[in-house]
Amino acid sequence: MNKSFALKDMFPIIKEQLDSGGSATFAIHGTSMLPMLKDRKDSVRIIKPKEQPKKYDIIFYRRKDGSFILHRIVKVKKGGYICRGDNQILNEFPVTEDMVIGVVEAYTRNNEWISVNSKRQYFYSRFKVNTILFLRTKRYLEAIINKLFGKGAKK
Amino acid sequence: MKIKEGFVLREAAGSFVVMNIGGNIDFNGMITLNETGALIWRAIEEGKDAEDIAKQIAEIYEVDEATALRDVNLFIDKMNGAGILE
Repeated sequence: MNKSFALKDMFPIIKEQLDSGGSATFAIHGTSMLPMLKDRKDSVRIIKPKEQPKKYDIIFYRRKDGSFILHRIVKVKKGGYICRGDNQILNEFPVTEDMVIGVVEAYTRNNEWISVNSKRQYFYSRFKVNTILFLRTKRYLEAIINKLFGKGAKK
Repeated sequence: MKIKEGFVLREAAGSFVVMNIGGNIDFNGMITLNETGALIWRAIEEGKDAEDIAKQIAEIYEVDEATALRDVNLFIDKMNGAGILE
């Protein structure tokens, strides 16, 4: 009775489910939300936002190219949201209201469900968003070191 | 035998997905039905009982009624197990 599915096929059902006041749970794919969410191991529970999504919320949205994304709002601007995966250094803007499908209300960690309103998520999200400069610097330095001493280095 | 309120069938990706309006759908383990399952579902919605449904199945698929009834009951058990019926 169970089978894997493509998000784009299930999208109308997800939308109806969320519009009815219900929720949808599914496993996440990709590494953009590490270390919080592990590729195909962790799941999220999405609901329709009860209020305007705000900074630090993780939103589920669809880009103009049709792809589905689950990233965190790092800033709210007039023209839309600035979003970024926890494991990424580049921002995406604008993510507009019409692109937003839902917001994460809970996620799994080692098969245990955790609310986004928990203390650990509170501190983790603030840390992640506000220390981006360190991550960017770290990645930049890693790239330089790789270039000088890594696989691509000249001998 | 009735389908619990909130459970509806929707078609997607070539099969039928059981939705739980107002509740949660777990796409990691969602319930999908094939055409025969959907047929049985619709028959239950119409208020038919297992024997009537078996007669319908027997006619469409040209099997004997006893086999059809056994399969229909198996399906109903599964639906009960999933908490869809009341």
